[in-house]
Amino acid sequence: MKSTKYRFRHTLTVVIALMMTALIGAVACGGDDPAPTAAPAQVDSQMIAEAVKQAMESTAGDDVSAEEIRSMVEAAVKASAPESASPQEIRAMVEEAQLSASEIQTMVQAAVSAAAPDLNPEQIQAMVQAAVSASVANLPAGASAEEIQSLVTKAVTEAASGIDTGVSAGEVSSIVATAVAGSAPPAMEGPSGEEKVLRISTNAAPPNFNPLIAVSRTQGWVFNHIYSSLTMADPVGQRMSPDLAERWESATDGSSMTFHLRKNALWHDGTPLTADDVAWTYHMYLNGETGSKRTGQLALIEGGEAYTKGEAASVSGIVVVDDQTIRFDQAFPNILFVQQTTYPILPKHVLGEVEPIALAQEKFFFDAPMGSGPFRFVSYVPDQRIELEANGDYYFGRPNIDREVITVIKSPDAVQIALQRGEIHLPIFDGGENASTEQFQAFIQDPRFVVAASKGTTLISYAFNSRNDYLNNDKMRQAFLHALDRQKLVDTFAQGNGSIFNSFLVHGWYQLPDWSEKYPYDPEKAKQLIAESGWDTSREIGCTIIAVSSEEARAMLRAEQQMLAEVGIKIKYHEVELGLWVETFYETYEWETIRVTFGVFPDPDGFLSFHMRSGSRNAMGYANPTLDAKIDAGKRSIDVADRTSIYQDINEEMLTKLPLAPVHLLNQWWIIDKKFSIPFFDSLPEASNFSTVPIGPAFLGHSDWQKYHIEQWDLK
Amino acid sequence: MGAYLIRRLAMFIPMLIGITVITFVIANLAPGDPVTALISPEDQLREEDLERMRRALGLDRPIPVRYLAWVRELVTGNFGFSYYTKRPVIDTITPRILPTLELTGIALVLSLAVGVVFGTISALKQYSFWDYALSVLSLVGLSIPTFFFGLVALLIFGWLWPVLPVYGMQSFNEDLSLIGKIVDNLKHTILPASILSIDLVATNTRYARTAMLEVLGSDYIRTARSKGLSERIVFGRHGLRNALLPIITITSLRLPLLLGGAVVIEIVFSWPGLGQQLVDAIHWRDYPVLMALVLFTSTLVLASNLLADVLYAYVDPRIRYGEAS
Repeated sequence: MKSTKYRFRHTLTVVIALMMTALIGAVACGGDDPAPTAAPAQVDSQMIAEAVKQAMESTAGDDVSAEEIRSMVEAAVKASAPESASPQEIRAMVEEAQLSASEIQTMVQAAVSAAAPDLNPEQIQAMVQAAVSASVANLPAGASAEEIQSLVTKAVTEAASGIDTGVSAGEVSSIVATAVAGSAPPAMEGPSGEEKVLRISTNAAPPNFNPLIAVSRTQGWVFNHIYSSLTMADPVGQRMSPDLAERWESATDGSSMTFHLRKNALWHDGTPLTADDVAWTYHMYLNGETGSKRTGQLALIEGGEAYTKGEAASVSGIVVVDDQTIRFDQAFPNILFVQQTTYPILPKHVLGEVEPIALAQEKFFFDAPMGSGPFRFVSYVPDQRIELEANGDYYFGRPNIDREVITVIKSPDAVQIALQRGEIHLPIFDGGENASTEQFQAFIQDPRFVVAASKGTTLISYAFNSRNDYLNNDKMRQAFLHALDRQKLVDTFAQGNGSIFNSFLVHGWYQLPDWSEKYPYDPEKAKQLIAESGWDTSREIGCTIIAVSSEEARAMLRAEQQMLAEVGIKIKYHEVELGLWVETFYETYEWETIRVTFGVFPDPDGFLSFHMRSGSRNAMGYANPTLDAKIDAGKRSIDVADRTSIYQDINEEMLTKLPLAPVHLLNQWWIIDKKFSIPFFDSLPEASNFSTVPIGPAFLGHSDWQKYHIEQWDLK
Repeated sequence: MGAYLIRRLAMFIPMLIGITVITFVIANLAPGDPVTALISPEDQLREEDLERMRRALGLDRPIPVRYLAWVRELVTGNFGFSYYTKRPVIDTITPRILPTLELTGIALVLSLAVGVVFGTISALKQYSFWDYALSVLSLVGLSIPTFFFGLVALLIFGWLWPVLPVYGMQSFNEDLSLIGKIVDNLKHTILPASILSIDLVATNTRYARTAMLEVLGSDYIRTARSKGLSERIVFGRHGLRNALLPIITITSLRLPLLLGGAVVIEIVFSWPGLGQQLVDAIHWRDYPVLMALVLFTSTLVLASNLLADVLYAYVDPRIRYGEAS
């Protein structure tokens, strides 16, 4: 008798523990999601039932010890949460689970009372409640996987100890499965209650929906919603995360990369998405006739360059292994290619017959773009508005948001009004425009809004044209950087929301701690360096800049000019329009210094190969054979430790020679209506003034969060 | 009159050629080009990629050849493809003509009606409080730039007393009936159109006042009065009609300015018209769209000048074109 009781108690323990873990699994809904049709924030009855059943079958008849339960829970948490899941992520997962806590409660209750009719209802209730709330709802903020695991185990063990009856494991299993299936909320597919409409504004209407030739942020926003790509950047986890590819592996020698596509990915018209679509799309990105802007980046693929030049009929390095597997052979061994896998994938079955040269004019890209992402395209009234609707078949689950409307509002003042009137939830600013300091101030103080930043990807700096011999003066350049009180500049003109960096190589993985200490504000030292350098203090050097749009920015320039003048470096700004600036900087080289805002590349190689190597843009004229060799070594190395030391070496050189004098990194600010819940921002603390505006992390760029698991966004 | 019209219309062609040549050359000679306008440093494009893009847009050919190619396209009724959107230019521009015509049309009517009424009041009650008040108002209207009024209107009607929409030209409310949609559209028009008209209202007020005073002091008005005609007929048939002449000239000469003002107002109020598109076309170096817009607006301006001359003849029977000289 005792053994039967013991067995039942533990069986029930296992049931509850498994339901918890299945739930956490459903919420986490990571790359290796066991039942990918599940909507993440909702309880999928079939999935839980299935998980419970399987678990029961495998454990039935065994005496399960607390140790075993613990390890099971641990495994489940590990499997469902990505390995390097940060505390925020786990917290977000658990928090979402909390939404359905009452549902689980009811289900478990029904199951238990059916299985053990002798138990008194209060007992069951208390038990279940304790289990659910202790393990899920009351989880401390920022708990680690271990903490969750121990809490769940403890709660479940405690709860089960009160049960005193005998039912076989098989019976419990089937009863629980039925009860769970029966009592799970019925309306999980469609929208329940009021339709959730997300309203976005943009100041730049997208010209088209063609990712091959995209130019604007607003286009990027729409692409993230309607198209999917092989991978997406996980800003919190600081790595690439599965999208269409549920997993991928690099050949040990770095000569190729193989992507395994998920089986349940469908185009919005219901056609399955296969490796053929991916192969065709990458051909189009490499095809010069389509006007593609990715030909340079994708030259990493073997045979890519020959195809772009029209010397080959197809790219030899793109190999479709089977419907779900595609391999990219690399032009040289590298581990960089994975960063080139965030480009939208286009449907071959719709566009495959179109001549590449005519692709850009295809109606598809104006009136009927179709992808495989979380939202379907509904309509676009040019210069006015775009409408999208949730994709019920999305492989990560139907988005919580039912509809999305993007309205074109050109003037930042009208945007402010629209936000305050509650007509939009989030504005997108395109083409260098942004809300003004006063506007941000107003929204920080308004309790209805969140002001938060994502880590900057634009580094502001002065570049020296090394083609001019008189500027090839290390000491003068060092004096330049010592002369700038960068902290004061950031505090005064960016309200403290800027980070000081000493190099263009900004990635965390190879930073040395003493780099950030270099070049403090020291006008005396600067003057001394100027004296040693033999710099002619009467010489005025020109600084070409893109026309400044705000008085704030102009004031910052004046402050910098003054700081430099104090140590004997006279600069004079020439404001020019963007197109001319680009031409001056990259093509005619008719400049002395330039104040430039470079985007940060996901990998140090991006910046080095693009800007600093001979034969690249090399606008600064700094390239030299020694540096070229180092850059190539870094590019081709597939060993992280090796690459770390290469980039440290290069950075040390750049920090002495200063082909560019970095000023600071500007973060990207966002104003969000609090009704609009984005896990990435929800986990950040709230700002009370400018200097406490929280800065969320970025991996590939400041817009990572705009692509990362959009289906989890919600409206409260 | 018929011969005169034909001669005037024939004059359009060399004028349009002149306008388009000048615009084309200036746009193309400006530093930078459509390819540099469309890329960002992150694109990692190599020199050969840029060359290929330039070739694809035909930018590798000399400017005169490009102009002739554009004219050839035009003659065959094809405006080409936009560099920026890649849509056919005609498809890009046509949906924006009506919104701009609606905006400027309403502003024009408003400025005529209000300006003439204000000017007439000023003239009839010369040196009264109303005369001074309207004079000050019209000076204010003339001196302050349109966009400033736009921002003030945004603040007042968008925020302090939020009764009017401040962006776009429709609310996309599917539930509205046709009449509801028209009312909705008119609500969106109120702010941009009235602000666009301020400048012209002010001008018209001043001109109408002066013209009216001049007319009222002339001999034929005295004659009319001495004939014993009622004030209404004196004023309406003899006064107003003569005073309208300078207003017509001013309005037709001001039409380009109205279109120019529309550029600013369309940005402030996110009005999806030609003005917005002109700014985008310049920003993106979208020459095909830019040229089509220049052609369209210059034709409109030439046509309005012609219309003014024809209206002159209608309003003032003394004027006869093409016969006297």
